[in-house]
Amino acid sequence: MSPENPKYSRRAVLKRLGLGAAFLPLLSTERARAANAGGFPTRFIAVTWTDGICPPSFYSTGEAGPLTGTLPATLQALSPWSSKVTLFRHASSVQSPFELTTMIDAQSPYGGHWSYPALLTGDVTVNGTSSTANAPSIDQIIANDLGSQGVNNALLNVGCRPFTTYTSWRGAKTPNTPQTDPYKLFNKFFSGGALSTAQMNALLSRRKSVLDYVGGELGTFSKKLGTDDRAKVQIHLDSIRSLEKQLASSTPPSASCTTPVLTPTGLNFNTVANYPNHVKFMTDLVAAAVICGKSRAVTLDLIDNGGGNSLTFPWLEIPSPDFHAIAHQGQANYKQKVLIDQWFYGQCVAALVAKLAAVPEGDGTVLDNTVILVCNDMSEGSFHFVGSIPYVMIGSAGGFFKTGRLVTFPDQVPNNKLLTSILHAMGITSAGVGPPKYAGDVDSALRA
Amino acid sequence: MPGAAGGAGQGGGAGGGTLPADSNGAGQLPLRRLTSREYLNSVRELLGATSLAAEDLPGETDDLSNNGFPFRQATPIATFDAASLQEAAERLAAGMSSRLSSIVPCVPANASAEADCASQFITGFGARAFRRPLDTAEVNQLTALYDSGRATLGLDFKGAIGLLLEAMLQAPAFLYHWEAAPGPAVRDGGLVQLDGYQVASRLSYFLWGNMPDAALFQAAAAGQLATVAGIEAQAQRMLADDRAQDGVADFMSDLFDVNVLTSRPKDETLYPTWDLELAAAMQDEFRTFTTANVFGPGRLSDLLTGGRSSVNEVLASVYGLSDVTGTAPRQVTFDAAERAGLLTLAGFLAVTGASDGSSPVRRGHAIYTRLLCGVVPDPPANVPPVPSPTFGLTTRQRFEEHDGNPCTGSCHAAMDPIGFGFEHYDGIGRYRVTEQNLPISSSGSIVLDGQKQTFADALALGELLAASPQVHKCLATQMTRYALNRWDGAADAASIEAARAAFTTAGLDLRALMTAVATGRTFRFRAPSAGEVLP
Repeated sequence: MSPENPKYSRRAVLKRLGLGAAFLPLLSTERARAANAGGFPTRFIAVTWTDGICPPSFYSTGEAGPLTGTLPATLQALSPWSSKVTLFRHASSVQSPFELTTMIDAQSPYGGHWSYPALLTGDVTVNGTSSTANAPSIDQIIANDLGSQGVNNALLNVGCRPFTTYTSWRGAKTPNTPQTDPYKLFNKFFSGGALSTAQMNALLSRRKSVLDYVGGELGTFSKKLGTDDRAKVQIHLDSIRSLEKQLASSTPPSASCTTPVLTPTGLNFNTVANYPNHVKFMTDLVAAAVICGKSRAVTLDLIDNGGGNSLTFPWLEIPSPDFHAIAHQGQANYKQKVLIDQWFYGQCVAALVAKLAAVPEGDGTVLDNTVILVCNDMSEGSFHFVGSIPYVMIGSAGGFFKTGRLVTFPDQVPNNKLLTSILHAMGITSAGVGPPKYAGDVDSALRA
Repeated sequence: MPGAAGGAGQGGGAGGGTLPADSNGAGQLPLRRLTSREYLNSVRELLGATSLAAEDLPGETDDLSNNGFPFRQATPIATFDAASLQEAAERLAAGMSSRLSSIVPCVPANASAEADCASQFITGFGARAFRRPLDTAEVNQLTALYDSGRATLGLDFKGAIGLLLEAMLQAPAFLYHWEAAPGPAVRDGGLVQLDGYQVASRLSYFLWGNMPDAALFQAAAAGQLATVAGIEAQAQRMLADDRAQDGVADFMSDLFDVNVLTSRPKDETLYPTWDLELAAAMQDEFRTFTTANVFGPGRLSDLLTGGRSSVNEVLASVYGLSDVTGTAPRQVTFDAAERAGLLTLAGFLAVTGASDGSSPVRRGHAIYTRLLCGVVPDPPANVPPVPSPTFGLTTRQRFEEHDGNPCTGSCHAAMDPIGFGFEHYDGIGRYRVTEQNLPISSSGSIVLDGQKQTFADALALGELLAASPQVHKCLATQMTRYALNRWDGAADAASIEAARAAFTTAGLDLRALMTAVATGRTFRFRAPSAGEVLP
């Protein structure tokens, strides 16, 4: 993919980026590397849940090559878009070729309690009772890169029931806390319409004054602290700067940008009965944020509470046992496990895919300029095994990946290499993600 | 099944390692921001009222799995969080517009008096909001903001005071626990002694979950919090205040995760009465039982074996008590053969119960990690599944079969035999004598103070726990973690041991334990952080 494709004028690029005149100066010295070869923004979305999969219903047992026939049972909701899907398998066994090598090398091959932070970083330390990432996750790397191109606030981290561990990491030991309240997320992206221009300008001026003050105080405060604490304050300060940038930039909505409708309102998301709406709202908001040009590097953590008494799924006629217990039952309860995973694929992944695929962009759709990475942090739940991580990829990231096929690998591959290839798809030059010993990519196997 | 996020830096646990404790040691003071609870309490204290709720504010991590930190911990301020704090401050300031006189100490008679009045507000209200006197630079910054509000934004006096309020509520001095007053640090060898304002805030957020009151600020200003005797006097005064009841209830609810009970799902076919109202009633009872015992008789044994409680009608149905009606709680006495102590309350039993049953693992895990301060190792490879409930066995039989497998025994040997003691209680805490038409066996065992001890049921377990020095030490450790809002480490070991000794000497009075923690060296001193330049 060349970012220097002369086919598109700067104006066309701008238009297709959905960016306003405020971005003109930022693009005046170079072409928008933030756009792909087609002139459109490339987006990355990770959708994650925990507790593993049912391998016999998840992996395609066919030959490597084009996906023919129906998709495996767990993934059947994706069948209408099978030409956009990339599945992975080990060449001679029914398991994923991708492993969390960072954990296996740390003697924690069955460390499924601690694997969430490794999914998008490929670099964790497990200390026996918790784990922490040692590097930024790829969504953060992508957002940083876009930031260097003048595309601010590209990062979006949301979750439905994240408990204590996150997939998105700003850097070593520093997780990005996801937003879990869809109503707040809606207000962030789509509120403000009720105010007159004068009222909005007054509010913006007032906020600017206060944020200037808060930013200054944070800077002074930081100097009183030690190194670790300064890092915490820096996150806060960056967040204030991010709010300031939001004030400064108003992104005009494009014709395809439709405000999602979150009804009913006022739901209590602490109750199980409202979980389906929680997932639906977050899925709709992620789709809208991407389509409306508000976010380009997104993580959506559906659930990471595997350790305690977890969710139940009464709407699937599974009032018990809970999600965690079902995973622990392994083969003894594949039936309910598959039902739940099918629900996640249908309610969230396929719904997201459908929304992106419904919005034309050039000769294709928004989906074509996106890569969605669906993640789970272990193989089968009862084993806590991290040597076979069931990733699924949807979308070609603007033609970078060749989709609609099963790709097999003869040997196990560090997940770092898949992550590196995704960075390449996003137009980022990278020798590797995570520790240098896992450098490299799987471009040759995956590229169009 | 990920577990607790790192970040806090995990300490050496209850024992403090094998090295002799340094009696002059004190741990670091990592920067913490106000939790949502602390924020709400503080703005209520500052402004007289708040329309905000916890969900309007940045959250905390709080998990009940995998040896995670037992209390809620505020996360770093992400962009969303900064926006939440911005909106919260705007709402609070807007809400004060009609009653600014309650926080502004003057009424400007004319336009020229307004700047002076604003200045009084900045230093007076500012010292309460920041929980310490402001330095000159801070006063200047706020004055400049006021001036700019008047001149540039075109605000009137009240509008500019509102702007100041918005700004102060988003300032790091309000949001973070770093209440050092202007001036040089007081060094003591390699340590720094917390100044009076820092001690005042540490005390008030520990014991009340709230900002200092006027008396505490006065004690700080008068230098009375520089001595153990001064802190002790304040701690005892504060423990006699109603606000301490909330503080202690928060501690115990956090420790046993009862605070997250409303988000626990239950199988509606097995537990048709389970809903938010019942869960909230259980939370309320847990808090009331805690405070009634800690501030009544006060001893640990009362907390772990007491038989009187307060329940309303929906909760009474769980306990099989038919003569309680209405939503207001009423005093009841449990059947002494069925129920006694905090660990037999429905709140604990429901939050540690499974969605569809009792769960010896979770209950044993809670006792093991929260009262024994044990650390559960990673699960080994190839853990086989627990047989499903359809096999016609009791929960205990199913789990015994599971644990009999050598590869799971290592994980569960420490937890399940403790949890079996609770087999008389189902997933929401109802008492039962049979399961699957088979009699319940509630006998179990626990390794306490290095000795394996057996017990007949949860009632006998409660008595064993109440008498165990290991539990006393662990509670001193947990209370210290709560007070410091961090894991303990080797430098805290002597303070924890001193708190334990005071707890024991005082006949295991929990108020004495709290006072001892508050007067401990690691509460009053801190080690400087790497990279820190002391003033």
